[in-house]
Amino acid sequence: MIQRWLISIIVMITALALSGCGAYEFRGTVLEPPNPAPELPLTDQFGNAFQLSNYRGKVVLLFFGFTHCPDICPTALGDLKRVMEKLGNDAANVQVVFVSVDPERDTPDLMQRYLAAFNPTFLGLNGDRSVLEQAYKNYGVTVIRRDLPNSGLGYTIDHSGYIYAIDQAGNWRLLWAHGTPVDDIVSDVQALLRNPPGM
Amino acid sequence: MRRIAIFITAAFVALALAGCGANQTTQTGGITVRDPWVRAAMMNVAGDQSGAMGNMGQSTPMAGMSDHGHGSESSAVSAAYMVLVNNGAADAIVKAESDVAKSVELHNVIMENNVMQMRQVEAIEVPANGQVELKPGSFHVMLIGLNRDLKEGDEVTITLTTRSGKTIEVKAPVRKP
Repeated sequence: MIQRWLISIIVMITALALSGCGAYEFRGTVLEPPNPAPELPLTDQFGNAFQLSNYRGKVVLLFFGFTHCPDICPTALGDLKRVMEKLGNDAANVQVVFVSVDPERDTPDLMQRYLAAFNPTFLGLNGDRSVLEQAYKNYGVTVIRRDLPNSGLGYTIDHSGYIYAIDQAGNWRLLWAHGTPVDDIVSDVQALLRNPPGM
Repeated sequence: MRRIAIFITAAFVALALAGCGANQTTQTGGITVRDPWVRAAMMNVAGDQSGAMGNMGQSTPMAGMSDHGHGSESSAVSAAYMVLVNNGAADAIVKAESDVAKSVELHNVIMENNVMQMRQVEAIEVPANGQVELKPGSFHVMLIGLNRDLKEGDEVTITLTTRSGKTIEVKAPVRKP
């Protein structure tokens, strides 16, 4: 009798402990239910074909931006650079991907130099306008070209500033608003790495 | 005795001036600049090679491979940030100039529903006895078409013009992005 009692208590405590483990609360916005992240059939800055499906087993951090954006994009990429530094050895299981919202000006050469200034492992994707536009739509990214008639820039691109996380199974799991503290992103990525989804 | 007094005065003046320089702050009575910095950036290889080779250091074999005779220009950009402190009447920065870029402009970033919108502005207003921070995600001096790579440790000179007609020379160190 007493034994059964003991067992039930042990089971309860174990259940409690496990639920505590699983109850990590993401700091970013969680996408429920997680859906497969739309494919990005684009080309990286080195001329290699890119497929998200080649990154199963890794966490992919996705950001949409452009090289002529000297302010917001470098801030986001600088944050991602620090995220990778803080992840230490875990960074090997994370791929940062930058998708162009300015395909005309983001030449492979410019992308190479731009991204290398942050982290040489970052990939910069560009491709056919129709494929890119489908990607913006799929990921809910606002991309609006604005002419700046009096500026040496000619035009700029208004664009969303979210960073997206795709888990090891290729599911779109999280998004972080621009300006989310680096430590929050690191913590969320570590949580994804700790609990890989069933693949 | 008199000579000593002059000597001491001169020493003080020198000290005061040295203090100014070390601070990288330029006093003009109204607007003062504090903590200026420029984001490190690389020129793109396809950019203008003619005048830039001297300080490029490592040139790339790919240099100028495309668009020959297109008059291709460097389109690399960067931005300068600083705090504008005003201890006088309301004033504004209406112009910025620098030899590191083909165009130097005043810009602002507005964020609406997490959509970043960068806009050129005519002026950056600095309220009387107030301050404005030029920082990422806000006002900045935009450097368009860099003439050279901006590497950490470099210094960029930017000349600001105020609406009241004064010029402020800012020496901004280059920092990592």
